[in-house]
Amino acid sequence: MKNNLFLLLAGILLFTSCAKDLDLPDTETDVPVSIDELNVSDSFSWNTAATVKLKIQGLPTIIPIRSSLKISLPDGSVVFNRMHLMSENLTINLTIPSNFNTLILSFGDLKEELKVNNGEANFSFIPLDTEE
Amino acid sequence: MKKIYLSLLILLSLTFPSMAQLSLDFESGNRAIEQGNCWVFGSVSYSNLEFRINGNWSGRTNQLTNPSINSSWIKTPWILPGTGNITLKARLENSSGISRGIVLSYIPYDADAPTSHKEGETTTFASYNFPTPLNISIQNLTFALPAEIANSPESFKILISFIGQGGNSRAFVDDIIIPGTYNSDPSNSCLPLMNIDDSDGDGVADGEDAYPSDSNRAYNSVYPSANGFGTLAFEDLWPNKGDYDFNDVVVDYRINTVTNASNNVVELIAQFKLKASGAGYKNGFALQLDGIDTDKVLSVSGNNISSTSTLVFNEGGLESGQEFANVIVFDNFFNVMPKEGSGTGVNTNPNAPFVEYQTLTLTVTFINNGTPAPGGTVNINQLTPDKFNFYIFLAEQRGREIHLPDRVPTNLADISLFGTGDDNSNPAQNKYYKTVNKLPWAINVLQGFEHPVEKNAIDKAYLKFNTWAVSSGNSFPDWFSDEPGYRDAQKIY
Repeated sequence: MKNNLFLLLAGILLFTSCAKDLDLPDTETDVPVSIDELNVSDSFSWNTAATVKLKIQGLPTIIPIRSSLKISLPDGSVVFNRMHLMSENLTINLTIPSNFNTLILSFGDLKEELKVNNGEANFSFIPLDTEE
Repeated sequence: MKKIYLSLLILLSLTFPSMAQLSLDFESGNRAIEQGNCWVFGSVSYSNLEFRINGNWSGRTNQLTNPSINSSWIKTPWILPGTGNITLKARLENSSGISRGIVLSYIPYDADAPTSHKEGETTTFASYNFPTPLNISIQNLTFALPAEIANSPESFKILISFIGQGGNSRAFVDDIIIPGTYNSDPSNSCLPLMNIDDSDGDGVADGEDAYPSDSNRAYNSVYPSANGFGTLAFEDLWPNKGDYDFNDVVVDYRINTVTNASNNVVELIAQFKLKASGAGYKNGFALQLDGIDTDKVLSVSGNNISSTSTLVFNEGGLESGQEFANVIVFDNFFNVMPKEGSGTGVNTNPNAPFVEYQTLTLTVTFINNGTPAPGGTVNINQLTPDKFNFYIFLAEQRGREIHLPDRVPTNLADISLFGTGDDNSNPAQNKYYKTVNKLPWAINVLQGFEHPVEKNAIDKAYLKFNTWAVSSGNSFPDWFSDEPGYRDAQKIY
């Protein structure tokens, strides 16, 4: 009898736990109804910008190779454009609308889509080693 | 005697200038670097095994059991051939095999070739057979560059093939030297280098030059986007909290940073579209270029300063008394967009007459006709958008500046106001223009937005605003969008 009671209680606890997991919290229920009551993170900057540190690794070239380096948003808007030496390492601090999480890098006929992760994007002019 | 040799060497070097040559010693240890420079490898890897020939790295073929020149090979970038000999070092890894050899061919550039590499027909011009029985001794090999391509103005590639029959021996190769001038363009699919069309001669190809006929300008970099405007929205009761309708000053903006071929900023062309001001105060609006000294700027034009202004400007039009360049866009919103009818402000009450938006286009000049400001040039990397520090100020009280949160005040800000009213700034910690609860007096929406109607707090007009804020921008990053459930349209102007 005691064993049966124990199993019954364990089963109730188990199902109670499962039911709670399935009942996902509404992410907005804890948000104050008035802006005056908000308490936000000290680091929150109150803008809809994403700051991106774009790191470009140069390729040691046999001769100096210069061309236009263009960083665009997926909608085609050019946010950064300069003459660039292919062998040069470069870090660019970009401020872009936060709804974009990719950048388009162009250099000569090179065109690469760069993913932005945790505020960083990376590109290397050294290609992936490929076997012919 | 040594002096005689030295003199002879100097004389020879003056008489016979060094011949251009292309070389490959494998010492990068990274085949991808050479591939980036347009070398191509077919079953030849980089190796630092004990059988390497010279230095720390050599090339190593696969097992040479195939007589085809397309089995194991190294192909050079495009070169303009010189004259003389191709030299290289080679050795076998072991003595297993019937035969081993090296074959040299050239490949001409053919603009009409169907492949993207534009390679023409391969012509073999030299070969070498390793001595038999095979052994592992190093061979210093020399091959004459064929007369038919020597000193040609056309581009060629040299194909070095490794062949063999039987056994399993591989070959090592090192110190390849080819007389000729490198003529490949890694930025253009490794095709031969070509002269660019450059009408203004600034070194930027016409196709990439936003100003192909102006050697003083080359590039545009636009913030936040060439396809739209960002919106700055301010509350103006600082250091006291306001009603959070963020419509005391509403300005759309787009800034084009124009640079030259040396990547120096020539000018900023800034468009500011004045949209609304639900303020009782007469507010001015300005832009500090953080970190840019005033002597880096030649002039400012296109702003709107009232004749009765008490602001003081330097000769070029920047505000005086500032360490960094401060561009006053306007000193009184209502001078640019006068109120119509009764009531407070402009374009915040739907029942009041609409006042046409006014756009001011400012030009901040750093270089004029190639001549920079006395303080020298500003590189584009020094003037990225994070240096644009927008703020408003009271026309009658210049020191009462209101910036975006955590942006530094200017030298003319009245720092005695920090920490008064609802402001919780702490300059020692670089904390500015936020309340105890970290609420701001200004927001920056890079995608642009329509401001709330007077006396309607922004979170009542934009229903996901609070969630966005408490999530530090992670939830509803598109809170300003016109999505179902995102807005109360009645509360948006």
